[in-house]
Amino acid sequence: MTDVSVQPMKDSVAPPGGGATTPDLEVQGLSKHFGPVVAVDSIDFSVASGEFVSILGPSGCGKTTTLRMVAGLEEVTAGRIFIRGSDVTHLPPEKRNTAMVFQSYALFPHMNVHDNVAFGLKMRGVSKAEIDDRVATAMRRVRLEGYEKRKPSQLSGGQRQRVAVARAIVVEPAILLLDEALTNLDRRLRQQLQLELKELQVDLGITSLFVTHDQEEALTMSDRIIVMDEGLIAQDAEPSEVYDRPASAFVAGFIGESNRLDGSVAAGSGETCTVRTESGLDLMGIHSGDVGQQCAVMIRPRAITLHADRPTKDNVIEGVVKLWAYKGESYEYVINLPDGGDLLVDLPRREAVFERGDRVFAAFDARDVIVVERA
Amino acid sequence: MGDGTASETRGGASRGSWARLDRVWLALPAVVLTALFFIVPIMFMGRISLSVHESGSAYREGTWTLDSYTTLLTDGFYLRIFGYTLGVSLLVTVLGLALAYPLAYWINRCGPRLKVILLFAVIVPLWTNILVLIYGWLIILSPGGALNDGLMSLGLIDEPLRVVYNTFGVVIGIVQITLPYSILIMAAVLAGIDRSLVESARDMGASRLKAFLHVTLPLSAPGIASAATVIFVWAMGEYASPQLLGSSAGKFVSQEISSQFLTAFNWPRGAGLAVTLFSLIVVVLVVAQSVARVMARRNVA
Amino acid sequence: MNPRWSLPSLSYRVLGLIAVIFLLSPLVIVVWLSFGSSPYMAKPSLDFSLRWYEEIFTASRWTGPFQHSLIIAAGSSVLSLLLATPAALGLAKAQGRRATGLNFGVMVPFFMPGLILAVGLLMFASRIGLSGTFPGVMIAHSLWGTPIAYLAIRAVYAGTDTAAEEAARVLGAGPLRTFFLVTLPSILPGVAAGALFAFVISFNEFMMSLFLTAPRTVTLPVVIWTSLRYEVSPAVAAIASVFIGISVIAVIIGLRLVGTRGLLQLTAVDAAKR
Repeated sequence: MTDVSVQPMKDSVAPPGGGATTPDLEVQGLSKHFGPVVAVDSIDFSVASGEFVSILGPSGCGKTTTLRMVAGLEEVTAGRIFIRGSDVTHLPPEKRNTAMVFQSYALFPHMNVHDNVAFGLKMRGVSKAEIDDRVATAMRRVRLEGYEKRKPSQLSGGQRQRVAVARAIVVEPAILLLDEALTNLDRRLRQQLQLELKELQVDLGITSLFVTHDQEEALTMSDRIIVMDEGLIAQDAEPSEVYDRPASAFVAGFIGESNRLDGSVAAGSGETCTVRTESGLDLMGIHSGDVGQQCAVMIRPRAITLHADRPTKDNVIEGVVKLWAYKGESYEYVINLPDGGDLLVDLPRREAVFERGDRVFAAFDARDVIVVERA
Repeated sequence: MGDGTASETRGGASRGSWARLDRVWLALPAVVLTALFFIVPIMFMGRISLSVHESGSAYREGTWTLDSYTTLLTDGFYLRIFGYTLGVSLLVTVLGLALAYPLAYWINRCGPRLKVILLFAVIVPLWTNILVLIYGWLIILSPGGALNDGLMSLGLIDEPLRVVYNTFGVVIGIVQITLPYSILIMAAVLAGIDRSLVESARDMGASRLKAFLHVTLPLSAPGIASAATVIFVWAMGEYASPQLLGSSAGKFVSQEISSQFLTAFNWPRGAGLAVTLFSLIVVVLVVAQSVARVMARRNVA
Repeated sequence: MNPRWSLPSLSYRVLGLIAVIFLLSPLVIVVWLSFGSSPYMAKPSLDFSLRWYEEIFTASRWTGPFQHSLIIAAGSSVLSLLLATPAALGLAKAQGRRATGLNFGVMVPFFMPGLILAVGLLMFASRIGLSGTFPGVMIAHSLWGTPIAYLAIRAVYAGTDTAAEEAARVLGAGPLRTFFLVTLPSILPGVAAGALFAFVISFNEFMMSLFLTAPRTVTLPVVIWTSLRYEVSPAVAAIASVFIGISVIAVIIGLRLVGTRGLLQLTAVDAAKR
């Protein structure tokens, strides 16, 4: 899978045994307190060799703090961090054999591109010939050949980002840490670089931990997503599962748009259940919880269809078109429900035939109704 | 680390973490310098001011008395000196502000080229030895000097004007020394004022003068206040200007301190005067600080 | 009517010009006088002579103190940098009570008139044997040099990206290598400006020097002071012109190092702190 031969830095402790089952990164009971504020609250996770894992969450959820603790830029309050099996919890950053791409890129302004990329290798005492060789390879990988003599100030945002990536991958780190690495770029460039970065990561098989607040970015790039909220891990799963089977109302609300209705489980049989919402609607969904349990029902706008006549579907709600907006690929409708609440519906162009004030039936399948527990 | 995550990263991060020891302690050597060569001498001075004077040996060690302070408060001679110092300082402050403001305003409004020239004209005197500046004024103001000569040859006056070796000379000297500082402070504050506020006032029909009086001037109040503090504090401690440009009839506190130490050799009295002057300066700085805080709060609101 | 020439906008220009003339007239008159031949302190004349420059660069009563001044200014500016650089790095990006307190500790001597510092040091320095020595005066001048260098370096460092230092650490550089390879190069303009400021302050300072120097350490400003009080020679005008020349050069270097904006900000911040 990999053409990268990783040499652990001479000061780091050799991994005990190593072996294929040891994850490249393992975090146990990791906590960080800033005075009375608990930024990270005893979290556990691991990243397997070659895996691309995103930590996703809103600002202030503790994701950046977690990444910085892994890098050694932040002292841990409690817990342990293992990189390739060896305990690095109390090692300074320079002895951890990680590399980091910062949101601000953090290029050294007084060095040219070549010297920036060569920095980590120089610190590792690599011979000059090998440095030149590896820098050239890295520059080719990020498609920046010919820019070696430029100063960072002479580069565009996207080019700087590429230099930052080259500088990080050239040292062949045990784990590549990316802190909002694409956030400062404009949308189009960001999407392009998402793909480039992902391709590079797969080619080189670099184990990566990527922090972002952008759910779309996390879904596009990750093998696995760790959703964080208020210092805790809300869900740790593959992208499709996080999207389709969110573990909580928070995850469902944070990833993709959803309509949320609160209620409780009224009846359950096997895989399906009926939820009675607070406004008195009965909705069928997939859930195996206990009857009477407080829950929230989440429905994606894309999962809902609109009809002029009552269709035969698992769930049908009657309402009135309140607003609609053209979104390019689709139309967004806001349907006013009898209880006064609104339902957001995303319709493909050809189905969008309703006008303001029209009486419509909103329908969706039971399997599109996500039922999550409510605290 | 973008928008709102500042608390996550900047708050307690970068420092402390990888250095194990909190980085702020890097300031310790500099603070030790202050402690050893400023705080300790001040305390030393405070102790000496409470000692008994002994002619021939500056002060008698191990004695305690309030003599030097009671003398300061009861002897009209010393009260007059403090009064004169504060009075002249006040006058200098007002004149200095009046002279500095238009130039500070100009520096902010002119083109980049003229700006460099004006800044040059301000910073060169700032970085020139104050004795050189005073020497220049001595040449200009002396009875047979350039000013009187010029005025007489123009036939405007018959007798030389007495413009030096009196309060006028002292005021000129201190204004000259402090002017660059107040100009720079006010220029910096004026540079921070949002031009669009002035422009919107103009759009709403305010005349150029009205926009200045109702928008620019109030917004530059913090700059005026801190410039005033600088001038006033400087003037209170000034020594060279009154010594070289003033007369023996108008003495500054600093002159008296110096003569108590170097001529009269009365260390307790000199130290008492110095401690009093030091305390006055601290009071002015503290008052200025709180005024600034109140103004800042009002400007935010 | 062109708004440039409207009454209000004309008035601040005229008033500003008056301030400029006021600021520069003593400098102009001093330089003019220094090139005259008259042996008296008087109004400048139109004859040209370099005799006073010849005197100050040859007579030992001027050259000795000139050397002392240079030694003291150099030593004081080095000492100031050694103390100010770590302080600026430690406090530029720090917040909280401790940082505020330490910042105050670094800055406070700067608020004090030279006389207060001088008198305090006079009584203290004689006790610890620093009176009349080069180190004694250097330390005294560092009381002003350190805060001003600290302000210059702090301003530059505050504008740099902390992440660059962190990137260096993650890439394998220890704290020392990070400082020399990444931090120092990025704050170099501030360090140079700080050294310049500290040098200029020390070179010009006369109050502390007056109280703390002995004949073998006496500085040029002290000699000027004595000369102004007791017997004024036009040689003083030549010396004074040298001071003005040094100031002009220093301002030019300062502009080169930190630019118009930087110089305006730094000097203004420093003045505001006083």
